[in-house]
Amino acid sequence: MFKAVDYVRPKSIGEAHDLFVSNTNSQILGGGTYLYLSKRTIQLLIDLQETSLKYISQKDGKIRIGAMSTLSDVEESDIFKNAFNGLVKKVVSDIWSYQLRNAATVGGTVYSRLGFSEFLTLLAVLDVDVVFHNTGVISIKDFLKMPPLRDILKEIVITENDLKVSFQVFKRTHFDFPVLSLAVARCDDEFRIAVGSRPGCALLAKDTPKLLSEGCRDLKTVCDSLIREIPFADDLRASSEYRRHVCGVLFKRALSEVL
Amino acid sequence: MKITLTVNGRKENLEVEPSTTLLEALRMLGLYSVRKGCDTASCGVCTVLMDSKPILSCCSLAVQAQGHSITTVEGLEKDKDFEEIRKNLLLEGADQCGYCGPSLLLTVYSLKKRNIKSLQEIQKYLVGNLCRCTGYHSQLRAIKEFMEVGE
Repeated sequence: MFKAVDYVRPKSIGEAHDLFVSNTNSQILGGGTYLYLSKRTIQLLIDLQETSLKYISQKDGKIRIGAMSTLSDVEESDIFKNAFNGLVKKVVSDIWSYQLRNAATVGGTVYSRLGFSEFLTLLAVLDVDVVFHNTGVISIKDFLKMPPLRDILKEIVITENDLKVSFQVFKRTHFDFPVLSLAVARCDDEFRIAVGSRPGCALLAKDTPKLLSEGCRDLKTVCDSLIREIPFADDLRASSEYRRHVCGVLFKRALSEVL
Repeated sequence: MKITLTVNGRKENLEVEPSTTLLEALRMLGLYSVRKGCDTASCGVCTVLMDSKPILSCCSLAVQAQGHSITTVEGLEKDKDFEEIRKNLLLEGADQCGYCGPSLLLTVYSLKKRNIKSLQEIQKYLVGNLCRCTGYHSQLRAIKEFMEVGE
């Protein structure tokens, strides 16, 4: 368990940001649900619960989720009942337990780029912008490739569109982290493919979407391409070889839904 | 640091470290129905209600709970719904060692306020409440009756 020396609850994001950047051994506190696994000693815990970042709104084809919204807020939001045919709600409601979803925040999940996050795998193929206090707006595609930012995540913005999306996940039991998660989105001839729980963070494929865009529909060719370009590793849930196999199976299932 | 928690409707003053968990703080207050189990957010025996929603007190900090309303089973003793689910569990013999009992009661109590329509849905919301001795069947019979849902 981690140790913390001091704790503050700033009233604004500006104040929180100043504290965060001026103290190199400070930590932003979202839900705190994964922090307890750390063994660090943290000088200053900065709790964002009074910075008005708990909201979900929909306007002009954009859905904004404040970073302090919990996974349950997303699951219970009327906005996500209909958006993307209820897929976001479905994916979030299958994450771990009800108790955990009531505390874990969207900001904590996205900012930390949690490898096992199913939600992040899905977000990676949607039109999502990640909004930081100081850095401003970054597309999720760029954010997933960047080194960690010393900045405060304010919200994520999802653009509603006609993407055809399939989300696939394989877990040993319902109540577990995934062995692998995979999302495919299609808009006409444009494809996006993300693979998460590799066990690393969700990664967007580059070559395989091109193959599909160029008209290749041979399942073996596209599956081999995806398995070749995505790096997998071993952990206690599965070997890299097993993950490669599961990736091929999930990818075929996803393609059958979007082609 | 000094904090004030609202637990079962009462203001409680405590001296805690910033990394003291809510579980540790509640047990410091003598609320032993809040159990320490896996300490990895898996078993659910540390469940309490925060603003009427179940959360895991083993991975929540006491300092985070300031300004929120915390409820444990001790605070629901005179509640009609709580009494009903407790009675149902007893009648079905759904509580053996009793270790997970308070957390299960709290989660089910909070689910009553949701529009749960099926047994499958109940099971989905209860995956985070592990029981090592009942085998779940007797619990589910009691909960189904309480929630008034069919198969």
